[in-house]
Amino acid sequence: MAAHLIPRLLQSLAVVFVVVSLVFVGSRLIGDPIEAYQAQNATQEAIDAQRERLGLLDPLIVQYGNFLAGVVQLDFGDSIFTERPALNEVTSRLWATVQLSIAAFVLIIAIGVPVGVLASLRRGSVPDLLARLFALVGQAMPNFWLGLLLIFLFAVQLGWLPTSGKGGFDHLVLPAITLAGFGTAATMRLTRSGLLEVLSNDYIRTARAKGLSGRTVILRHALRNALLGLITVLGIMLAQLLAGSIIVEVVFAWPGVGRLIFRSISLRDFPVIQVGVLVIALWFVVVNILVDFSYNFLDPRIRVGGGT
Amino acid sequence: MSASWQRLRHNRLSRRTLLRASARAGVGAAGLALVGCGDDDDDSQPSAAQAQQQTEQPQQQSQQQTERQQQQQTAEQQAQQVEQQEQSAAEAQAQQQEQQAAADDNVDYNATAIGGYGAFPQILDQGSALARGGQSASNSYHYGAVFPLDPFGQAVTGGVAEWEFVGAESLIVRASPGRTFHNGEPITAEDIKFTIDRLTGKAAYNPEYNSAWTGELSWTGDSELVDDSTLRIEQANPSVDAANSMAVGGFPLFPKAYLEEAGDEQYGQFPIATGPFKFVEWSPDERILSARHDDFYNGRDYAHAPRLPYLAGFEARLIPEIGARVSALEAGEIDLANSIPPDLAVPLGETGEFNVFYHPAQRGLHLKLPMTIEEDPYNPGQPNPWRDKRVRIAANLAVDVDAITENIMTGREDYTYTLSSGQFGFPSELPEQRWGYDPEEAKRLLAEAGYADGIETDLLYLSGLYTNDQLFMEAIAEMWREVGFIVNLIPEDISKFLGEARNKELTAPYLFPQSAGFTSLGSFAISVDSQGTYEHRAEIVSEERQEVDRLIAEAKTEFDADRRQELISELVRIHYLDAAWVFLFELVQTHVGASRLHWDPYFLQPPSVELWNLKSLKT
Repeated sequence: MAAHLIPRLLQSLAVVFVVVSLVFVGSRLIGDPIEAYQAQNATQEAIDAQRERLGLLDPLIVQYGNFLAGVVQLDFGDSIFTERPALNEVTSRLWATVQLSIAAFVLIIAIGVPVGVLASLRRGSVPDLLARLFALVGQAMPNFWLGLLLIFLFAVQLGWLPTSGKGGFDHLVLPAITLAGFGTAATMRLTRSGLLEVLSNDYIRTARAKGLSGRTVILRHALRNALLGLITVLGIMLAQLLAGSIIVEVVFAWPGVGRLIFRSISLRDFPVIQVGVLVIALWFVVVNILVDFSYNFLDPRIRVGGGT
Repeated sequence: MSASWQRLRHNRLSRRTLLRASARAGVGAAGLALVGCGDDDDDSQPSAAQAQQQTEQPQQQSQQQTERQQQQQTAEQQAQQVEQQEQSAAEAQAQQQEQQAAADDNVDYNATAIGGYGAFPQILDQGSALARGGQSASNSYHYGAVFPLDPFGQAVTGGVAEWEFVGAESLIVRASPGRTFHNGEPITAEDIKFTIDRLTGKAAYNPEYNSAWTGELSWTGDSELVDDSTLRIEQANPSVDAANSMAVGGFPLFPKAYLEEAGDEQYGQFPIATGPFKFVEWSPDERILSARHDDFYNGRDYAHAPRLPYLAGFEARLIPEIGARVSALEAGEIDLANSIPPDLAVPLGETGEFNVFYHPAQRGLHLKLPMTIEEDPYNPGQPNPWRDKRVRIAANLAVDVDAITENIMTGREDYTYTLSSGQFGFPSELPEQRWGYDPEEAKRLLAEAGYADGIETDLLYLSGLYTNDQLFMEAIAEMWREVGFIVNLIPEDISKFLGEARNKELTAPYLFPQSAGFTSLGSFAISVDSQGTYEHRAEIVSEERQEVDRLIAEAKTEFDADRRQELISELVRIHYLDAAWVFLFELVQTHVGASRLHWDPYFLQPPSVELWNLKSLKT
């Protein structure tokens, strides 16, 4: 176990390092934050003083070295605009994004898996056709558009839910549905196709021949095997929810990390962009490691650290 | 829709006409009084020469008497006219006051309102360069300037302090008694001095403060407290705009004791200021709560702005997405949706459930031309075509600005002539000499200038900065193509673009705003004055531009308002007729409010919805 875990962690660290380095370079390519925020009539002296204060006059390699030295000490610098630690800026909004992501993930599993199972068991029936139509629409529709449609229907026309902002549980419903839209459709399709494939295997026929009930065959034999492929996709999906919340958070005025990154990109607030992307990269890495290890429990044939 | 703005403008003009009539009546009355006095004096104390003349020339005397009688009759008629004018002006004023009183009776003074905004400032310290963007959601109504403004945006003595110029050397500022900050502390001359020092990097507690106001306050030198209520500010660079720079919307006045104790970071989170609304609390990505500053020093009957608000409180909510902002308004979650594009705002207004508010956005758009470069970047070795006035005129004649404003914008945008018609110094006869839309003449001028085969050029703009900017820039590019320009339309990145514009490195025409948010001369310093931040150097451009520079410099230190107005008019005339830019239009901002909200703008060019002037009606 440890023999597998340590190389896996080292690999993950390398991934994070590459991502962070790319973000460092990329954020410098999108422009100069000083030009973006200075008043029209700011003097050149004032602009130069700001650049010097932020270390932007140093050669890029020096800036990069300073940045890495800071990362090692968990010092990511201060936000250029609020002048508060960039790490605090991100972590103070993290819970809002995690809330939204978890709510969306619950919806994806609670709707996507059962509907996928139902569609595969009733292949070619009206529920199957409806499920496939839902999957097609869910995957084709951009989530900002879905969000606006949901706002119009449930908040403006029906008045059941608030249009935007963060408050009670009711504020969470529409953004969570919007964020879950694509994932639910994808999960439903994967569950359906995975289950259909498994159901055509010999061991399922054997299980049925042995007189096991349909429910036992589906839940204990078919679904468990079909889930193996789904787990990987769900893991990636969980990681993507955090990153994919940017647009949903903007549409629903949800005060999370996604909107912070969006705003920071437009303001060229380098330290906040770097921390935000680092958090998302770490999230991806952690979820992937958890998915890897979950195979051990789902499929005894796969031995973590011991090959198949 | 257009009728409302037209009516508004008409009302304003009527008010202005009334003011002019009153002024004329006053002058006329004074003149008549002087004539009358003269006559009385002549009658009561005739000189010896006059007496002799009367004796020697009785016929002439009779004639003079007749003339005098005629003059007297005329004077009486004029006096009657003046009296009638004064009477009608007084009646109109009384009627206006009655209407105002009736309207105020219908105002709910305990009402609060919620506004949806697309952006919030990052911090609430209006003095900081870091608080860029989203000012109208907070800082513009939390902060009250040192001096109030008239409807034209010119500083008026009063408010927090009185001012007095001592020649061109210094500005004396006297803090008025009884004015307080939001925390109840009195506003003193020391606070004003601290404010100037902080904004110019001279405050002892933090000389490295990142001020957004260094440009506006570049006129200041040393300042000293004469006594507890009097401050003398030396003018290092004498400017008649000195008082204006401390009156422009959002100029922050800081409480020295509180700020020194709290520090910059804490102040940025919890500002104590002097504006008509006081800050209560905020959640940076969600809402900003404010309450009416009931002790605000300018009452509702004060002649200038800002004044004590009608609303008891205001909540600003951050809703970045425009569609979501409109939905929040329709769902009744907010009362005012700011910055809504006309294509969404107009249908809402037509339902009768909402009021659409329009106002000039203080942005006169124009295309700046690359005058600095010597050679045509597309034809090395050939001269820069933009230095040929005929080419510049052709570029103006090629653009049908009215068609753009009618079809792409709101239709309420005014054409810009460097200044807009509402600004101090605008030459009223200039519209008669406007570069109209004449593509044939544009083609002819290009051919005459030796460019019958066209001129290849890039056309640069910052995409997404203004409503429908991509659309109107495409329209301009197409109109230019029709007369022979070979145009490559290029959207640019803001930081790269502004840096290159500042360093005069752009080699192609580019879209740029002439901000009216500053005083006229202040805005000239940014882009008309060739020594300014974004303008091209006059010495290499044209004699006309050198003359414009000279007039700006003269106007800056001309303390006689009439003469200054003449100078500004002249420089605007030269700048416009030299076709220094391609002149476009002034942007109009559109907002939508719930039907209970009523707003009659005070300023001719309000920077945003004037929250202090926003009323919630009972019915």
